[in-house]
Amino acid sequence: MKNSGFYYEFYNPSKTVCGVNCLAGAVERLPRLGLHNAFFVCDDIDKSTAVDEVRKAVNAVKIKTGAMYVISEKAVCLDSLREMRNVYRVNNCDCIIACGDYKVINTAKTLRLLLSAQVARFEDVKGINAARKKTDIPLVVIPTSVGISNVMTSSVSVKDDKGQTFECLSPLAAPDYCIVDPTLTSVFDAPTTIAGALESFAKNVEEFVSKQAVTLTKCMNLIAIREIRDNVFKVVNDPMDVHAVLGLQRAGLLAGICYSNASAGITHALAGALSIVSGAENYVCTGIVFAACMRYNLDVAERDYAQALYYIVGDDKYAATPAEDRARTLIETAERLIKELFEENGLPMSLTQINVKEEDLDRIVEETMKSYTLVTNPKNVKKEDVYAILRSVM
Amino acid sequence: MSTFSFFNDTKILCGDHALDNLPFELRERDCTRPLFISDERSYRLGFAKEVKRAMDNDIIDFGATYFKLAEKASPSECDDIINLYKAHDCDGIIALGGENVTQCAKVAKLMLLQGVGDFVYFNHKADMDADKATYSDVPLFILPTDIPCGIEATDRAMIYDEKNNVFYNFNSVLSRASAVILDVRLTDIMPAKAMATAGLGALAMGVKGFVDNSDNPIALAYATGAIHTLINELLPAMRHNSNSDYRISIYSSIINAGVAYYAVKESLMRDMTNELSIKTSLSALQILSILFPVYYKEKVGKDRVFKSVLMPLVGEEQYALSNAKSREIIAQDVLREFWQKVVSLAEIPSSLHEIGVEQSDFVKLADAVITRYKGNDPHNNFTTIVKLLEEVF
Repeated sequence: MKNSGFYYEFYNPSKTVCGVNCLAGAVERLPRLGLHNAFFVCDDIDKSTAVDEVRKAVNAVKIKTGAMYVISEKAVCLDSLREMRNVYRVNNCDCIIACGDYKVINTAKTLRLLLSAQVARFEDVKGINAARKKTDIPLVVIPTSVGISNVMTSSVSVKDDKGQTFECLSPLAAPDYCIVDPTLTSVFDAPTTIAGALESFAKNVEEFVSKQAVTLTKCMNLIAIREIRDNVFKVVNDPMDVHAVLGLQRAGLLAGICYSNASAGITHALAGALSIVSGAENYVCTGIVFAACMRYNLDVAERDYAQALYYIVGDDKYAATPAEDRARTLIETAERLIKELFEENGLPMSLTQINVKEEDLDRIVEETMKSYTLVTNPKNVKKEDVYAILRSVM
Repeated sequence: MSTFSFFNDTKILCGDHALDNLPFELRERDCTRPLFISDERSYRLGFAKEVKRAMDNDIIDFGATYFKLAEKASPSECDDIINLYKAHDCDGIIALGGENVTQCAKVAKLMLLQGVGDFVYFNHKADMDADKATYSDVPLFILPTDIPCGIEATDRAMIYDEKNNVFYNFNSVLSRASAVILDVRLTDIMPAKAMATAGLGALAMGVKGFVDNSDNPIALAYATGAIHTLINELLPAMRHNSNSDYRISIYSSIINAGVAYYAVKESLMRDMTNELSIKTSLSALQILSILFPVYYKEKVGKDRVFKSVLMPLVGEEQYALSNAKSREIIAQDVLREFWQKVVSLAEIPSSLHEIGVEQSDFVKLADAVITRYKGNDPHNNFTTIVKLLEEVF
């Protein structure tokens, strides 16, 4: 090691309370944060009792429900954000409590960003660190799904009036308080569990090999990968196993913290672009391209992949695999697991199966190249590389 | 899997040109008139000038400067900082220097946030259970110029009142730094002895943080990363102490080890370290470097997590090849060998009598430790402490 100009930053502004039945204890401290009149953002309240439970717990510590907004659409759009902002103001709310899945939390984070920066247009805060805090709007997030890797991130994505998706990276998007209680999760079917676990796994692997990764984020990623290995099949077999659900949620939390600090790579960029163009769920797109993207990065990320293999296969198989085969074995193991889980649950395995045609590739590539996560991919990504990856999974 | 809670919003900026980001960090927190404090050593070595240079191109001016902090943090130093801060209407603190500056600045921040101007009065009023959002912030930027002490990115602050022989120990989110900036330009070549002592102390912190945080994956990652770096880079850092990459890497590991170590509320070992630190006037890291062998020996056979510490010590390859049943013994051996190697290479003290502790001090020390200890482990009693002290004597 020489004097090489090494530099890193690490920042995790959110407080986390995580455990089985931790809700009541965790909300006890909320009034001390100055919360009195909450704006609740949640998903379909008929489908889950979680929102009711959270409201009861919050009301018990004398925080009123100032207003409630139920999210129905898949992605945050500017119209609903404008409406939410008005509801927040009209009802004199002083904090946001988000209880729900990915889209609920993404929406609440975006709303907080706009309210904190006191800007009317999303254009004023989009990009990296463009938002400045003008006022304090405490944000509490309580995820109710397994795949919660967006909870702790400092990033949000929003669809504009023309249907274009924009990303924004700012500490103002990170929650102040994150409460993870697996008893609040809905009882999931296997595909939902797979979706959460797969997104979290892919994110952790990508962050682990990111150009911006440092020892601390790498350790978090490896701990997360081990949690996924230990718990994913337990949850698939028994969705009521709250300890296993908690394990997957912990992995998601770690992925989120690392995403804000190490960013991700080509899988994230490509899956996001595919999801926009095809309309398929992000986890399906991740499943389709993940192994191909890992293969693409193999020559520069071989050492890291080899190390990560241990956390997937454990002692015996790792020791039995020759050092030079470990990276490839990780990719093959990931590919086989995705194939088994996807086939078993009737999920699409190729671009054709999600109705992507040759003529869509230009737009997918264009959307992929816009993503800032490409900057931290271990290999410099060119357009032709993206075309090649896409054609390999047609 | 039990419930865990983790909160550490101190931003770490570490490495080449980290200092250049100070103006940005100040602006982000609306800090336009920071109080700039430092000690004479850091001033003499020109580090204060580096900070001023980094601020030159910016519109931010210092509200006031004070470069004469004493070598030991004391209550009167904290009072001086408060008075200066208020007199010049400052809105943040930049603390450049070693442990003394860090401790004073953290306690001063705590006092400012609670609106108390007098240390002795304040000690009885400190809000140890505060939530940060309840108070308006006093942005605090810690710029270590010496080997970090491990509390930089934690809620801890400790002040020793030599005059009255009282040790004040604070644990409040209100004392937390907004950012810790570790820049190569603010550090100097460190003697191998100092690096060895601090490195071993931090390794002890890391191992303790690892064992005590098995249910907290975030703190566990801090401990794992610190152990991995220290075990692999401490010896090269001692041998090539002009290499700034090694230096910064060890320094950032000490900060991370501190986060894991202090993430646990109660700890007998920490109380013992503090008491010995008061007794000998040595830093906590120096004391930990001596207590270290006792610490890991005590864990063998008693702690189911200790065997996993072998992973960051030896890496995946050797861990996978090791016999699962002997992992805690191997971990103990690796730690012992490493400790012996570092101690003999740097010729640093390895026992309590070498740092001036007498056997006749044990009863008084054990008594003080047990009074301080607020945990509820029945094994942590007077006899255990005396036994541990005897082992490292």
